[in-house]
Amino acid sequence: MIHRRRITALLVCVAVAAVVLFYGFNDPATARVPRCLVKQITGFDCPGCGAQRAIHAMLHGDFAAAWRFNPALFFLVPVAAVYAVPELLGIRIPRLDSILYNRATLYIIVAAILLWWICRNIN
Amino acid sequence: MRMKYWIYRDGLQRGPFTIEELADMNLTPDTPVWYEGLDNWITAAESPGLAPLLGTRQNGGPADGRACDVEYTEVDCETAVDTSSAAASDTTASQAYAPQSAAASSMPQGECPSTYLAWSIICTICCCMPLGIAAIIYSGKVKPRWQRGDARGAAKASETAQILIILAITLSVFSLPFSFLL
Repeated sequence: MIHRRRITALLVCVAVAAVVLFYGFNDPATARVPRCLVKQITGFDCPGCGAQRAIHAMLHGDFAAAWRFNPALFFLVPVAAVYAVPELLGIRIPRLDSILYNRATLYIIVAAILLWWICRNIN
Repeated sequence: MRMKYWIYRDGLQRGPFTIEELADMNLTPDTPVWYEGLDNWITAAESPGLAPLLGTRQNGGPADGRACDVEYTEVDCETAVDTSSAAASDTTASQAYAPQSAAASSMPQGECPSTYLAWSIICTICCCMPLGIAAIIYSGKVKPRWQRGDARGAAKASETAQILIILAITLSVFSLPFSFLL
């Protein structure tokens, strides 16, 4: 499908641009980068806060620092990839789909994100 | 157009599959199958087109299949499907799946609407957590509704998820200037 191919191409471009920006930019800890909306309004860290610093660190090979900024990224990025890759390529794997789109799987993901959100704000 | 098959397995109607996809799914001779042109579900063994797929695994008997059904209903089935598969376990295959034929003939045709699940997860991390979580919930409703034959419900959930994702992205883009000013 042309439509899907266009979206895939666009996303790949955005992803490459993002990687270049995150790699080339100065350390997001000091540079002016977009800040999280939830954090600005409520003052609480959201589950994704620290992701920019973590990606920057990851691209520079400093995985320990990335883990310190946002450990959830190590879990959520692969999960998102497992969902996104077959969808974008238009591949259907029935057996994989029945696991991915299972109600229980989704609740586990949502619960994990919420739990992580609460835990990181307790300390 | 290619021939599309639906099968009934693990307490759910699944499909549409092409014959190549079915070949990887270890069909047993008693797996209920439906494709366009049939009035009722038939077993895989009764379908002439599927005979070549059954040669490899002959020992998966009916008892095997039923144990599987019961195990999965706890996990991923809604009440409606639950009762029908519960009925399935104490009657013979051909009778049990007959009531499903009404649903099968109104079975949604074409592609399942996009779930946007990957987008929802990305939005939750990168854009706006509350809207992202809501989007994940709606994304999760698309596939089960589709498999139940509820094409309209699936389309609606898919649309809602899409709107939530667009909202989340718009919101975070509009908030960008503020993060630079403050």
